[in-house]
Amino acid sequence: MKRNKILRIIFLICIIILISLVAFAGIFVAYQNTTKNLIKEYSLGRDLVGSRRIELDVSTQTNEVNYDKEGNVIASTDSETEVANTVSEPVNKEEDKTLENYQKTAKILKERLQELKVEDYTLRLNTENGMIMIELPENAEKTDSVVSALSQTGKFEIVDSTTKEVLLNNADIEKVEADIGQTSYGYVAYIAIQFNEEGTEKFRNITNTYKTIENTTSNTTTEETTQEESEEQKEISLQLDGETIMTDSFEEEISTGYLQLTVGTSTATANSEELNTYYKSAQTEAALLNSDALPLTYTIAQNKYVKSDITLSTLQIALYIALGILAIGMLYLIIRYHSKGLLTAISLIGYIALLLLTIRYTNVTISIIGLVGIVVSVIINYIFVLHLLKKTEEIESIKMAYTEVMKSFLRIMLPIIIIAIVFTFSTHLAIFSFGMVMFWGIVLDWIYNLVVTRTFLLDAKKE
Amino acid sequence: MKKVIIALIACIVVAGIAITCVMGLNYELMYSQNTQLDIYIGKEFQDEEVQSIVREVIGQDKKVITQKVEIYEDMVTITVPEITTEQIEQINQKMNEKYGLDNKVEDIQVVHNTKIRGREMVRLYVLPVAISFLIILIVFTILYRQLGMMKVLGNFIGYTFLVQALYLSIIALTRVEVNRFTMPIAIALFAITQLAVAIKLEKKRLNQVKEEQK
Repeated sequence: MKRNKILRIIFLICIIILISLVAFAGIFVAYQNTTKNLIKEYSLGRDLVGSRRIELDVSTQTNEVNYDKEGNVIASTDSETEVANTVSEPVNKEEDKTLENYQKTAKILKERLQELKVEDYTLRLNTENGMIMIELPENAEKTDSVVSALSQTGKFEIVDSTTKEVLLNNADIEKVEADIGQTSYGYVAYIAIQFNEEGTEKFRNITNTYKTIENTTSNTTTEETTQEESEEQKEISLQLDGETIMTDSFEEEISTGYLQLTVGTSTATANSEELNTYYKSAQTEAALLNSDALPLTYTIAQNKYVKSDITLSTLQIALYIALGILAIGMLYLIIRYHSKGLLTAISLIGYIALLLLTIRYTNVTISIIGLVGIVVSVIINYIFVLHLLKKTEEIESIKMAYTEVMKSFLRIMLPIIIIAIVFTFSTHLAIFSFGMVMFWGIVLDWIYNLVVTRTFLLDAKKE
Repeated sequence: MKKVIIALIACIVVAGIAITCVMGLNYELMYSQNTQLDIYIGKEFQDEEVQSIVREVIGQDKKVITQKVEIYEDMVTITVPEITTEQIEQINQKMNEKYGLDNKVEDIQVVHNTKIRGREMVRLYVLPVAISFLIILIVFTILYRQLGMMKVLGNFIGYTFLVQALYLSIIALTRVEVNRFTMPIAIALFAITQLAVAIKLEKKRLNQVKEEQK
């Protein structure tokens, strides 16, 4: 019996050593004239690795504007009207470069970031020249589309394709959503625009005015054809930032104020990369239209990936301090509780190793606050172990002592459980990181202590 | 003894508030108004080398942060509190000499950043912390109702505000830089405070149960 217990302790220690080696050192194999760690790398947040830095400057570009003899602006698509005068006009008028517009731009950009589910960002506005510096987490799948959404003015207009009269604009939009639908051709990524009350009425009128005129049939008389030809097909142009997306007419009146625009169609499966790309474009456009148009036109002055200023040596110093404190804590356990203390100290090392492995394999992104979460988890485990050791001195039965500590610890741990759960719902990476680390810390705390620490104490009793 | 500690904490908090109102907090360079210079080097470099060159020009006591740019790490972003055109010229000259470059001053991209407001740093944490704190208060007021609702609320609210106020006061008084570690530590303190109050209340509850059994 005694021999079995000793063997079980040795076995558990061997397992802990193995897990610790894997977690702290890794498993290295030869790979293309070098070595490669088979253990998954940590996923690190922007405060530890780096971020995308985007500088948006108020545009100083000019546009060539053509005027006719009467001084009216000639539309760029109009090639028939004779140009009397061409003037270079700045895209941003001097009187528009105001603090109010700079602040409005910053507010709109923040709204767009929120729409695109980017919470982890830094935005600085230079109130003197309107320059905006944004730092975003680097995400291969998302960052480029976010940058694209930030740099666009987002001016949405439905205009008469001939007269260029603006019929609807951003102010008439209630809400825009991006979605994927299925048609007989395959899958479509689209944006659904819901106009507000005023916009719905305007849109209803537009759909009546710009109705598709049915084609004449082959047996139409000359008289009828002449009559229909005189009724010219009127069309609308849908424009984003002055660029025409589509020109079309409407087959029937639309009174719901709902307009669906296809961004892309894919004949492949619902999870295809092509469809995903279209859907991302749709999301970017939806984010643009859900916020107001920028009062000024901005250009991207720089778009760079900048590494974090937190160096390896800074992290090493923090690690050494943490290890020092841990060593003191473990030494206290050994001095105060002897063999039981030694075994729980070994168990604590195993807990840290297992927590680090869990974080790696559950894809939890580690930020600075995530590192703090690891420290808090270790502190909680230490408090639990200390409580347990104290209880074993009061109660003879280890099983009873463990049950009692576990019962009271459930209540004690409630605030941490609540914090962990609430934080895991955050879309902000740093807060999410803390929540996830704490969540896994608590889960492991219960399972690991039940399997390892409890067994250690049971087997160490009297031996 | 307890009164002395309370008086001491109160003094620190009051002094901290006063210092914050008068002098504000000491923000790290990245959060303060700063100037960033982007210089293309075209080869590998050591951060310390660049920092040394910059300090030679702007002064040894000035804060300098260097960051490598892009995947090839052959460009540097230098962040300094303030810099003159002459100093930029000198830095460019010294960098050219050190790395055998032929950069012109016009090649250096200069960006003047404004400071980041303290509330911007706190903004993201407010909602999750407030929600979790509210849930903790509700749950514990129900669980420990036998100890008295006001006592439970008082313990949680009192200790949480006291610890956070003390933390911020120490930062203000010691002029420790407010940096990227400030908020994570505040969150950790928030979590540990909740844990400590829960332990305290659980002990009281167990004592009450024992007394009742007697």
